[in-house]
Amino acid sequence: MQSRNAGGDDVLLDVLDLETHFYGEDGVVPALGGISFQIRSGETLGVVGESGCGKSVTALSILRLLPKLSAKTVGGEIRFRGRDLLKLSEPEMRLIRGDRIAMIFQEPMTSLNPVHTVGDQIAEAVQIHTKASRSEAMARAQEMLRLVRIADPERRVNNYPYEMSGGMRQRVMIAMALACTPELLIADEPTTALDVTIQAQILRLILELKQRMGTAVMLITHDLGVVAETCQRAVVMYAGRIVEQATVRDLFARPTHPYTQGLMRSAPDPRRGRQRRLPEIPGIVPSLREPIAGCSFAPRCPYAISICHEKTPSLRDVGPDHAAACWRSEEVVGA
Amino acid sequence: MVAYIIRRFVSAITVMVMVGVFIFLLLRLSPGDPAAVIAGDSAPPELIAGIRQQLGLGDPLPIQFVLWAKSILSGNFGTSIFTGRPVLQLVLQRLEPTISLSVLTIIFSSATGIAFGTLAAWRAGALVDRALSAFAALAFSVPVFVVGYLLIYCFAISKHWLPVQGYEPVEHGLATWFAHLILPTVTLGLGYIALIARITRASMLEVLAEDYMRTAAAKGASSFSMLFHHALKNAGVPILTVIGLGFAYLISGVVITETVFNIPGVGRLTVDAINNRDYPVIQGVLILASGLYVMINLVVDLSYTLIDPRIRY
Repeated sequence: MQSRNAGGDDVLLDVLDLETHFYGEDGVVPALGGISFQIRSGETLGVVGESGCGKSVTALSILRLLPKLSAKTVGGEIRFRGRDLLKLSEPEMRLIRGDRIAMIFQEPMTSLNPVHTVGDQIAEAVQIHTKASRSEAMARAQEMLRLVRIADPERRVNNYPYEMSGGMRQRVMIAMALACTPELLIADEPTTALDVTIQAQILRLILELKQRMGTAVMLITHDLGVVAETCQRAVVMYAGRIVEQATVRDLFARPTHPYTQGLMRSAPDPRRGRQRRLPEIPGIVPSLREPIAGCSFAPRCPYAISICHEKTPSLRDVGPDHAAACWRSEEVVGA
Repeated sequence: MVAYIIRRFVSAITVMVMVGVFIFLLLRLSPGDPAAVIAGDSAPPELIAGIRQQLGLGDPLPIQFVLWAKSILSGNFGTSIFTGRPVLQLVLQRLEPTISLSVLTIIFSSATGIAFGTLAAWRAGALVDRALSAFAALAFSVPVFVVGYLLIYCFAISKHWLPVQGYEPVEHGLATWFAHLILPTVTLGLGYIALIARITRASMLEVLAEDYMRTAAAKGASSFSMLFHHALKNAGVPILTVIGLGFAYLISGVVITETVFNIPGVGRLTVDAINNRDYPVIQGVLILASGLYVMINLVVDLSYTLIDPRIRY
C-alpha cells in the first residue's frame, strides 16, 4: 500500500490555546482551559488522564464533532498542516473528516450503524472521499477487512454489526477509519470497552497499520502502561489542562508534575511484586463549574504551597522536549 | 417467518369474529327500523310487519347473526335492503374513488410528514421546529370538514384554481382525475401529516443522539446523508407503525371527506346506508374495512424486517 505521508518529523497538527466550553443548565463549564500540543507526522502521541479531564473533548474539538447545542470551541487554533481547522467552513471540514483525520471511538457496540452492513459502512467512507464506484468501494472494504484480520472477509463484508463480537466491531471501526489512509488517526480509548485478551491485539493492530500507512496516531487512554508500550510522546491532562508533556522515555524517567507522579504510583507495577494496596491520589477531581483559583491540582497535591492556591502555573520547559505546569517542578522532580 | 404469518392469521380471524359480533349488535341495538324506512311515511303497520318478516328481521338475534356470518364466509355480503343489489357489487362500484383518495393521501402524508418531522428533529429547538410543532397541533385539532370547506373556498371558489367538488374517473384523463383529488387529499392528509411528523420527530431525535451518528459525521458524511441514509432507517419502525395505525384515522376521514367533496366513494355509500338504515350495506362495508385494517397492520409488521435486519419473526 502506498503511504502518502511517510517519514519526516514535521508538525502535522499544532493545537494552540484550545478552549472549549460546555453549556449546561447550571452555567458554563470550561472543559478545556487553553491547551497546546503538537503531533508530528507519523508519530504516536499518548493523551493520558482520568475520566472527565478533557481527553475526549480535545479529540471532538479537533474534528469539530462536539454536540452543537451544548458545547463550543471558544478560543485557540487547531493548525492541521498549517491550516486552522476552526476557520474552515463546514463543507471544507467534511472533506478533512474521514479522509485526512479519522477517528475511532470507545464503544464499538454502539458506534456502528445497526441497519447497514459493515461493508456498506466502510465503503461509504471511501465513496465520500474518492471517485470510486460502488463496486470499487466494496472491494476496498473487503481489502480493509482482510487488513484488520477479520477472517473470511468475502462473507463478513455483508454482515450486520449485530452479527459480530465487540472485538470484531472495533476492527471494523479501524478498517473504516483507515480506509482512506488518513494522515492522523484519533483513537479515543479504543480498547477500554473490550475484553482484556482482545485489548492487546487491537492495540498491536492499530500500531502495525499505522506503521504501514505512515499515519500519525493520537491515542487517548487512561492507561499509562499502554502509553509506555505504544507512544513516542505523551501529554498528561488534568481538569481541562495539560499538566505535563514529554517524550515517553523522559516522562517515565523523570515525572515532573505531582499529578503524573501520582498516576504512576497508582498503577500496578509487576516488578514490585504483589502489593497490598495501591497508593491513591487523595481527594477528588475538582468540579469545573466553579472557577478554580491557582493550580487545579493544588488541593490534592502534597507539594502545594501558598502560590499554588493563588496563581495558575503555565507549562514551562523543564528539559529538552519536556514541559510541566508546576510551580515547584524542581523540588518535585528531585523528590 | 411462515409460522409467524400463520399465527398472525389465526389471531386476525379471532379479531374479525369479535368485530363481526360487535358490528352486528351495534346496528341491531341502535334505534330506527329499516322496515319503517322502506315502507315510507304513514305506511300501515301491517305493511311494515310484512317487510320485517320478508327481511328476516323478526328472527331471534343469534339466528340472524349465524345466517349473516355464513353468507359472508361464502363471499355473499348480502343484498342492500334499499336498492336490492348485492352489497359486494355496490362496494366494488364505489371502490375506485376511495382507493384513489386513500392511496394519494397515504403517499402525500407520509412524504410530507416524514420530511417535516426530520426537519424538526434536525433543527430541534429552533424556530422552524417550533413552527412545525404549532402546525402539527393545529392540523391535528381542526376537523376535516372545516379544513375541507376552507380549502374549497380559497382555492376553488375565490381563485378557481381547482374544481369545487366531484370526482372524475382515471379513464377521463390523469390530469382531471388528479385535479379533482388535490383538495380532498390535502384535506384528509393534514391530520395524518401531523401524526406522522410528530412521531418522526420524536423517533429521529432519539436516533440523532446515537453514537453511530457521530461515527457517520467522523467519516465526513453530509447532513443530508446523515439524516436520510443513517438516521431515518433506524427511526423507521415507529414511523411505519404510526402510518399503519393511522390507517383507521384515514378510514373515518374518508367518509367525511367524500361527503364534503361530493365524491361517490365507499364513504358516501356508507353514510347513505346509515341514513337509510340499510343494515347489510353498513355491515358489509364495516367488515371489509376492518378486514383491510387488520391486513394492513400485518403487512406493516412484516415490513419491519425490511428496514431493521435485527428484527426476525
